[in-house]
Amino acid sequence: MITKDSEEKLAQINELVIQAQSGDRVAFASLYDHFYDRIYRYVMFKTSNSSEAEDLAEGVFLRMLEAIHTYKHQGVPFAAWLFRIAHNLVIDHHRKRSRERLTPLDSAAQIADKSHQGLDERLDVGLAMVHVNQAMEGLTDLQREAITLRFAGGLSVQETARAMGKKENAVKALQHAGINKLRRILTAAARPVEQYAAW
Amino acid sequence: MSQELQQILDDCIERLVSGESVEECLAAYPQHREELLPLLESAWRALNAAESIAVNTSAKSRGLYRLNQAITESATAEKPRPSRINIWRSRAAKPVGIGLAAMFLLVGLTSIAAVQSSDTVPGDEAYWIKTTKEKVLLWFPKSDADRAQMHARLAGERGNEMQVLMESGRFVEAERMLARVRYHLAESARQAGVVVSVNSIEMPRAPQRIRENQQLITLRITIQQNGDIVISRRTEIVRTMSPTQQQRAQQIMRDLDLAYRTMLASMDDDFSSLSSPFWRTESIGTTYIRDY
Repeated sequence: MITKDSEEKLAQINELVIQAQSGDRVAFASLYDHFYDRIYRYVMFKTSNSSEAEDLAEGVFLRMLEAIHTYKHQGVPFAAWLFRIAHNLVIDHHRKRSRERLTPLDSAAQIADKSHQGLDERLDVGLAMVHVNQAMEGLTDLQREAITLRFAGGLSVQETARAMGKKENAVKALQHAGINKLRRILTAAARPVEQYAAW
Repeated sequence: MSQELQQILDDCIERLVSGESVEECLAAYPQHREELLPLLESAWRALNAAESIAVNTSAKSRGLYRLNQAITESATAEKPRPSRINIWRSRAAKPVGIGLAAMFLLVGLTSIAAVQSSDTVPGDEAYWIKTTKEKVLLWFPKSDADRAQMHARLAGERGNEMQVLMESGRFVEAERMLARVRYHLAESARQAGVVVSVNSIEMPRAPQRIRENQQLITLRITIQQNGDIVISRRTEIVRTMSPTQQQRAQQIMRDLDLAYRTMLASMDDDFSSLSSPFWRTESIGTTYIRDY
């Protein structure tokens, strides 16, 4: 379950950030442990390639180490700051790849949790991911970013707004429009199958 | 799309994220059921797709290991020096310039004072200039060999001061000087990688920090000369003293002699490729004043 941080958790994160800024190794490890899964899912959603996503997620935390001394809370949640780093790294990565079209996903079986699901179920989940990922291609960049940060990154609307440099209402509007468009694309993609099944 | 619906949709997404089902969300807003149902189904699919992404635990561990490595490297790395242009264009240029000018003036004045203070001993007004100059010189070492040489010279200097103090009957201060001689000899040995006051059979010898044998020979010569000069004045120093003072002075000189002999014997061990199979129990000194 991707869960966003409670108020208490946010206070703990801020404390960890302060400790990390003074070079505390344990604080860095705690921040890494807390954010890695969410960052990885966010990057995976944007790259659709697990090995690239792993490299990029690692890069996000190395960049965090370099820049953490510049972070000042002042209304910007740490999660928003970190996801902005992730966003910039993904952009750089795509530029390097010269907008090369990626293979949609490594394989459906690689996506799902291998330890808890059977092969069929894994493939179903993997295919669902493929469909959603393909449908996301039809969204505008901002809509895609808002939905990826909210669903894959587990950020709140406020954190998403900070990460994107937008107002909260704008993020809500992007989220609404994005989901609506996603629904239309997913419905349209499912229609030929339904028609074929009716035969 | 109304702002109200955007707000409701956002609330429902929060509910889905926290584990509620689509039906539970719809139950909270029955009046918007028709509009919300297709949106929430799509949102649920996107959320489910994101949650289905499994994290590779070995990649996660690998990432943490690299982060740890980077923390270690960043802790030891030097901070990048700002470019020359930036220094002079920065707002700090003026105070830095004034500071440098003041430093040059201070260095100039202290150089004159340092020449005048070279023969001073503890208790003299200008002695602090001499020790400050020495400290400054120790701050800017060129190599391990230079540091070792510097400490050897300072040991000789403290030895001379010790004798002057004894001649004037200031034995307590002379004993403090002896401690400083020991300190400088021990530091010289440490910088040179010479192991002193240990049994060479039981304890592996530390690798020599001074790689060039010639540098070690030069250091040995310096230490031997300083030791010889100090010890050779022993008779001359005690000549005018009372029997009690003579006894005390002799003891100090014996300790000094022992410190130099131990240092030289240890250096001779390091020259030899074979470990000398004897037990050395004497030491340069177990107590010495590290700073003054």
